[in-house]
Amino acid sequence: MLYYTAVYMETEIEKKIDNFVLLAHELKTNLVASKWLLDMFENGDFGPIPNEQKEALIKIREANDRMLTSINESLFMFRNGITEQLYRLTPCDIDSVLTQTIEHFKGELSKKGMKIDYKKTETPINIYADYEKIRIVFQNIIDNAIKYGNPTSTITIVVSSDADFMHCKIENMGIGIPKNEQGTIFKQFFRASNSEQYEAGSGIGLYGTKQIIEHHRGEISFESEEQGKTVFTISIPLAEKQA
Amino acid sequence: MKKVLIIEDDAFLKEIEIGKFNKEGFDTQTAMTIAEIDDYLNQKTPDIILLDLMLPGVDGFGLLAKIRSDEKTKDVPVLIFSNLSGEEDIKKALEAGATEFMIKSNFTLAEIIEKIKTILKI
Repeated sequence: MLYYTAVYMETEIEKKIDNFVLLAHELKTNLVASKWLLDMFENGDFGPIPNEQKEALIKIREANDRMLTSINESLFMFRNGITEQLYRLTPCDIDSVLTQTIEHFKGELSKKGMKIDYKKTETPINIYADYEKIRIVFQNIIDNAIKYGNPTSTITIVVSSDADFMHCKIENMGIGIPKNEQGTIFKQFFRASNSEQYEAGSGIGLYGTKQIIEHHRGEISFESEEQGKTVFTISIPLAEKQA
Repeated sequence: MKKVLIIEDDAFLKEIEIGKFNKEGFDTQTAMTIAEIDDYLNQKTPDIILLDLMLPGVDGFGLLAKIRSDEKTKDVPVLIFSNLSGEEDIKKALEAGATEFMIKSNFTLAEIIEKIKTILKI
């Protein structure tokens, strides 16, 4: 009886996710159409536009991009929130997570002339994690480090551990996070004021990142200077401690 | 003139795509159903296919598999052009033989056309 109840609940959860995904798809399709047309207007596809009108179009396009980001974040948070009981925690080698994630960014790094300096630890460090979800965490932080990092700069990733936790520091030189906004960066839909000129993200945002880490009973913290160094530290429980 | 077949269901996006692609000098046609795709392929072979994975009543991944197994289209570059952005979907599409995966909301049409020109070496 319990088995069938569990199967029914999982099916209902999947149905809710599918419905939300369809809704998000519809919303995104219309925003994509706006994005494309606005870009074409800006670039003169429909004839020359006076500068004042062009500036207004740029602002509309940026607002449109923010809405796309919000939908992506909401979609992720919906999936994450509704399936939190479906996190599949197993021992994961942090080196495997990071190596696979870094590989994903080869093209983007090359475009900006940036590098990632990451050295494998001498002994393997296993964390207790849902592999795919924790990879999304590191993907989001590294994505931000590239997006907001200075061209030709190096992103440094250092992994260590203590008795209970793995700690991973991801450091970059870039635009940084304004001091007066640092208290709110983990809030839903937050975007720093100095990041508005950059391409809107398709990722989960720092709010989603923090949610995943907290589901893993981990922690995330950061230090940042505007037009300087930013360091994010992610701590996740070691697998050995969960045995 | 390079031939582009866009497999897309949304009428609004189709209109924008056709306008922009034609302006850039492509011979552009769109299709939405298996019948429309077969109709097109009976007349010509595209130089590149843009495939939206979310089509009503059609399994996008199944369609990709069909394109890759059909003698006429097995070597035609396929650019997946989708609002789906999950890692699993991207991995699945590339493993199934897609040439490239572009998330629609991440790119302007100008950037997509640049990618197409790179793939077609023009």
